[in-house]
Amino acid sequence: MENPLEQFAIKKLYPWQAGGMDLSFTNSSLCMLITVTVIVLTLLLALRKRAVVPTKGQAFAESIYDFIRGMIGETLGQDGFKFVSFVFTLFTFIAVGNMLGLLPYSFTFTSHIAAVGTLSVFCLILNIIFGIKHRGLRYFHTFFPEGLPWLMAPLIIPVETLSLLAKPFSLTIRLAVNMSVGHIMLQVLGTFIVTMGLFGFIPLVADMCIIMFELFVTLLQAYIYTTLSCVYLSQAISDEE
Amino acid sequence: MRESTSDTEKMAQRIAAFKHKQKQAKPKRSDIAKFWENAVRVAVEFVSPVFIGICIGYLLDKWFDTRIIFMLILAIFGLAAGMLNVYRTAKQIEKDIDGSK
Repeated sequence: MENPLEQFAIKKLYPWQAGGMDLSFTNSSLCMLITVTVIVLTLLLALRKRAVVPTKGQAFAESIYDFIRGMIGETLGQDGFKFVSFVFTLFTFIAVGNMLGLLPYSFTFTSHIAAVGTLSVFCLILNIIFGIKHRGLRYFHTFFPEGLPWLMAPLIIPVETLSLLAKPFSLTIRLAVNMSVGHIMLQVLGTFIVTMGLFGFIPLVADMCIIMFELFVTLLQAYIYTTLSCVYLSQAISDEE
Repeated sequence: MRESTSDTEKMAQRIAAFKHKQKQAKPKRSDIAKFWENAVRVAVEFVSPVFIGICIGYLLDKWFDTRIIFMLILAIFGLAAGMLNVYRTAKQIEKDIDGSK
């Protein structure tokens, strides 16, 4: 039986060392590049005719945009509409990356903590930058709320710092674990289809059901990741303690 | 000309009726799915700071060549941060539920 974790192995396609760092182009990088290409080409194709009465493609692209706008309206309010392009990019990148990972012989880069973690840390840095930009020095009250006695500082500051640092971690773990588990289940059941011979149709049916479920999970996880990123962003830019 | 105006009005009425219908038929996510989503969210929010605290503590212990002092202290801080996160998440969920009613 093939190891179900082998599908997550990073393979170097073009080894490249620079300044003592490994900057090789891997199968994960290739899949990210394909994901970006698919998104850009689909949107360019869908929006090539910008008509008042939209074509099917334009309506599809606009519905995603409306969906993201609605999500931002719910979590960030009117002020958040300037983040539409960022959140749109985040959602489409994760959703398409998840979906392309379901194709045979492809690679799910969203199942890697390193890939998703980098994205989450980038989101955290953006949160801090926008937080400081919106609230100025008041942003640092996140670490030590106003009105507390200074004696509490050695207790509150580490707790709030850990709470902030845990945000990208929880975002990463949720997405990476969900994607990994689904793919491992698919692989294990796929092996049973061959080894069970005549009764292989039982795991085949189960595999088909799981693929349908995984398709739903890919979009759901992208939605949860994006919504929580918006919630964290709203916490960073709002003055509520 | 008059005919085209009445057509436009009819179309506007149809769009308004469709929008009204769509608003009323807004599908509600099942309560069970929402419950699991929230449960997983709360669990992850609780565990994450503990894990981060242990990781940073481990690195600090390695750096200062101490035994498990930093790991222990930061694990306790992580536990406190986890509880704080759970409280904040629960408040957020409560706000969401109140908002959807």
